[in-house]
Amino acid sequence: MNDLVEIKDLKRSFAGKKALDGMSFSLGTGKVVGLLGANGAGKTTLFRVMTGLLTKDSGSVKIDGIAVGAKTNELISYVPDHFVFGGFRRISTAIMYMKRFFSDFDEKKAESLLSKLNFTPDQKIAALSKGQKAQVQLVLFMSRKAKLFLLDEPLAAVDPATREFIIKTILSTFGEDNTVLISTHVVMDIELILDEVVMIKDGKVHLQGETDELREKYGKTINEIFKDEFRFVEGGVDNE
Amino acid sequence: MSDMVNMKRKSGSRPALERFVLDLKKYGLLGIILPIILLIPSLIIQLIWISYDKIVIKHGIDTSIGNGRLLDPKMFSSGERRIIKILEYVLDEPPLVRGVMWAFTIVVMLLVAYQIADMFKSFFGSNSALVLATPCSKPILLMSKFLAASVTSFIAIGCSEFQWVFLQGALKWDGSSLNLMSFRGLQGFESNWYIKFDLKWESTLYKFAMFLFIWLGIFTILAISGKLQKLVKTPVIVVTDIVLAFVLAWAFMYLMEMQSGVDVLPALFMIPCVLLLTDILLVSKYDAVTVSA
Amino acid sequence: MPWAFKENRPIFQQIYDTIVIRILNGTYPQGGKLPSVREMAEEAGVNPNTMQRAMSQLESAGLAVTNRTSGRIVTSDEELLKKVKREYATAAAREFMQQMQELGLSKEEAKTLLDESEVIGK
Repeated sequence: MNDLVEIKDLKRSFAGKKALDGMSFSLGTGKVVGLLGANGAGKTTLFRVMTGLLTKDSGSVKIDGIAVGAKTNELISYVPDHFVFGGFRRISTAIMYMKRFFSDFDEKKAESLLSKLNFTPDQKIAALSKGQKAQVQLVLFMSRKAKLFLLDEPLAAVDPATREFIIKTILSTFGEDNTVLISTHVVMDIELILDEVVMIKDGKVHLQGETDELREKYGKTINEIFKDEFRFVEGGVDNE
Repeated sequence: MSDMVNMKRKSGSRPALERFVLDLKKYGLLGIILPIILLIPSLIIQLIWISYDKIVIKHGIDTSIGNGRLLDPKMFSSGERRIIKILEYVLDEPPLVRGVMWAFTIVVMLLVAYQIADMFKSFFGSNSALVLATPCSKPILLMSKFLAASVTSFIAIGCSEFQWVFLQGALKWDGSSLNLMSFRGLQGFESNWYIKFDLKWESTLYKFAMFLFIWLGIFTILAISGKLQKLVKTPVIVVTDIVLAFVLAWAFMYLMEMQSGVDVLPALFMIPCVLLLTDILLVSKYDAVTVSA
Repeated sequence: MPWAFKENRPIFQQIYDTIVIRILNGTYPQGGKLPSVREMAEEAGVNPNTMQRAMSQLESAGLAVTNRTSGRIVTSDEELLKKVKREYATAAAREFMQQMQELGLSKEEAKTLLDESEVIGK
């Protein structure tokens, strides 16, 4: 039985900077996992390697036992940190696109979620505000029956109402057949919904564990643990 | 749980077809519909030329070069005179005709520009996170885009070149069948025009080879840029792209100078073939250029 | 009792405590059906897995029983409930006494405080 995500000694560098420097971790299915790290720690790079947008230098990435490629893109629903439906005319156009290219797209679910948010299919995408675009994009990608959802900084720069909606959507989409991996550098708002966290620093995994176990062990909130771990980032001086 | 297992996951062939059809539709307006519409006037003129041929046969007129007889207008009926007048008007290259010529040039240029911008968007820009994450292998993605662009460009270029052909009556009626003419003379009762033109297949293929060169060349530059990310920072990549674009433009100009003679054509298609193979190899290891930092 | 969490202690334990209190004060009546894990997780704003863990603990403690046809039922075991009530009340009382001691009050002074009606408000 394969782990849903299996990453071994993954390396990827850019112009001299090692974005991923021997990252290794595994994730099972049926979990909401937080990928925590400061900006530039390698979170987006990791997602891009997992979805094939970027090639790895070395190491291995397997999704459900399969190496990254066209087949794994069927299993992964990637919600990027920027809006990707920019060239589309209306919401209905984007829905058509999802339907055509992803066989696991649940059109009814998307339509019902969108109407709950008071969107109509013939609304023009260019007229949407930034927050609305984020909502539409999330709904579209979360309406897929994927095995792995990758959410890149979903809560960054959104208003509290949208934030709540995002959390609700994550909880209602997530089930025993899939895992949601959320990358963020802000932990406070989503602590309560995380089963596990993977904390990364300098392109490597620094700490991984189940949230309640970590709370028990450290007697701190995940947010506090995270802050403590990264206290050393500033100036690289050992404060303890 | 069982519904997950039974769901047919299609990766590769169906998304590739969807992508091809989608791109074909995108390019279709500029690449197929407009060119065909612009072609209609010259097709009509071609039909008029055939009527002219019937007139010539009926009155037994010798239209070969050097035969400078002036004909008596009274030997033609009013309908026949009208036909001759139309053709004289057309051969005069009035603004209408020039307008269509210009329209074609603009449509073809717009099409190529649009296709290249679309290529950028799919592989480079903010949409790339969507396109490249679809369950379709990258070489197939490239091929379907390339084929859609090629088909529509070929049709557009073809229409553009052949509108000349029909305008100048390349198809001639000899009493029993249509023949392709390389030369046509018109001797009406008021004018004395000789028109020479070449069959336009050659120029169509030539221009198409140019298109392939540009399209594939630019993709090669994009693919190389993606790989350069590992070595240099993004600003340097931008500079490199500009330099490579200039090299491409220079090579293009050089090849334009070679325009003449059919023997050039095979060589001209060799370059795009090489580029295509290179691109297919490069694209499987394609790195999208990071948009943020 | 509303859902309120201190994130520096295991959440599933806090969920468990809250559910127990709700059972004890009748919010979830004896022999009555508990909402589904998903519903409760959504209400509490927590991960269903965490809620599930609390529910499992509830079952091992005997406070809830899963019936194949009717879902999760709160126990009707009076003895057990009395016992649990006593445990929780004792713990709360102990905490109260600790706080009184920190303030320097003796046990008698604390008792007198409790008798004064304004304090309890009934």
